[in-house]
Amino acid sequence: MTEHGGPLAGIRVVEWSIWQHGPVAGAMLGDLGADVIKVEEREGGDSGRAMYAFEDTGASPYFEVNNRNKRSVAVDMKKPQGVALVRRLVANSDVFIQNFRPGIAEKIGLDYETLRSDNPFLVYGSASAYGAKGPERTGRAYDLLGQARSGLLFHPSSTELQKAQDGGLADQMGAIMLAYGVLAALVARERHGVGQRVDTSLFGSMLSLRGLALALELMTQDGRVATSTFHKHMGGEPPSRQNPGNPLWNTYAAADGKWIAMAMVQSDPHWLNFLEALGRPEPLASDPRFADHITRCQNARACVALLDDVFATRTRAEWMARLLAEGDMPICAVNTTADVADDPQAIANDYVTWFDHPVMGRVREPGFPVALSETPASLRRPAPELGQHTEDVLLEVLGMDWDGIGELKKLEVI
Amino acid sequence: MAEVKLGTRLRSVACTTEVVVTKGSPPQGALSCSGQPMVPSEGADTTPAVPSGDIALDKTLLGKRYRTADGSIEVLCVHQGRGSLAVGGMPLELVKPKLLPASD
Repeated sequence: MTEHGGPLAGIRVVEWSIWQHGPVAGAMLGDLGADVIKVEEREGGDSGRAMYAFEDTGASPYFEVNNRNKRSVAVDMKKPQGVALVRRLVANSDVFIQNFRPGIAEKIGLDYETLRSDNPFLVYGSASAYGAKGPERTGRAYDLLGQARSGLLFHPSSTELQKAQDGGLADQMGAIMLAYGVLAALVARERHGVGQRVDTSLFGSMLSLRGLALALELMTQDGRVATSTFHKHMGGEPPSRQNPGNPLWNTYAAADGKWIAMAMVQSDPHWLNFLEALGRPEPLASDPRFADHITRCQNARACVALLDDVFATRTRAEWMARLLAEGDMPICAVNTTADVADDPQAIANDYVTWFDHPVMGRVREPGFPVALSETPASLRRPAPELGQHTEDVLLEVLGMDWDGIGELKKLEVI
Repeated sequence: MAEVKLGTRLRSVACTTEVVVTKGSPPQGALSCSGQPMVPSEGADTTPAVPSGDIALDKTLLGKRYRTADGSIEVLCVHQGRGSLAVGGMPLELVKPKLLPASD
């Protein structure tokens, strides 16, 4: 724990959510120092506990990363006393987040209006599938549908369907947007003295992720043409690795089958260094078709074919060493996820971090995408066991005594 | 020795294990770790919840609950350690929560 405990130290969040969309938002707030209390069903808990679980210990990388830095309270939410207990927790907290379909929270009395009557300064974060308004506001959806609805399942500029790039992408993006909205509402509370409701959705979050593609579509539907500089040189063909428009904004396979990516949007300043690193191969070095950026783009297909042959002669490590030694070029390895785990930059920046886990031992986990110089994020707690902190939270937050806790246990409320 | 009741915090004298009684009231001295009676925890808590060292050897794990076979006595592990818990010489069982399946 840092001296300050993170930028959100002193903020208490009650999170009633399952799977990934809501839980990751809670974990992000927890990483920043908030005291996040995860409310789970007394019988069953969050279904995410069993997702990707190890057969021997039952620990789950999915649940772990989605629920670290939280305390767990197990409550029978089907009992009025259980809901009343959660209402009391929320009344003593700053933020409530939930990711159930619109209507569920209202049905059991954990809707914004009810909780606001207990706590006018509450920030109430709600994560749905398709948004809080519209004819499908109560629609049921999971990650894949968030990706499908956003247009991400088609290859760019085509109608060819592609496999989802990453399982959980829409859930993760929805969580990021939920945490973003909650943080904005907390600032608004500080500056303007208001609590408020924050609505996000899988659909809206994915449209934000696809902001550029959506903007291009929206602003060219009247027939206006906004062509990328690369597309001008593709001869009307769809973008491809063989004909990318700019041969130095592309990927190449090395002799060991590993890939290199380069992003020389304006390639002239890099061309001579690039040729030196490649060993000034002919005809690339002297052919007038490749003399400058425009001619290389106009002859991209021929240039790519030549570069394919060159890169196939050495391993990626050899090429990377030569390319990086020759100059300040925007080039990097095309990482696999396994590569990412050991990427020196990921380690140096704490994007991958270490944690002493009570069940899994010393493990590596995703770290923190944001570095704050004075109040840094931290990983302080493992994901909790179901109901691990029930008594702890009732004693500390609600000021209950052990007799009262014993009564709730007898009634099977907790 | 003070009465052992709900909320009483006890520590092992043989290892780093520490528990809180969350159900029932075991007779004094009945709750043991590694065969030795556990004693009341005193003073400020300064030991880390997860001790350093090879945790693969730990038998009583942080955040897990352990109870008697009849369910009358239950404790919550707040510091893990290598000892095994028992009441009156009878080993405590790990409470396995009824979890929902991963897909619905």
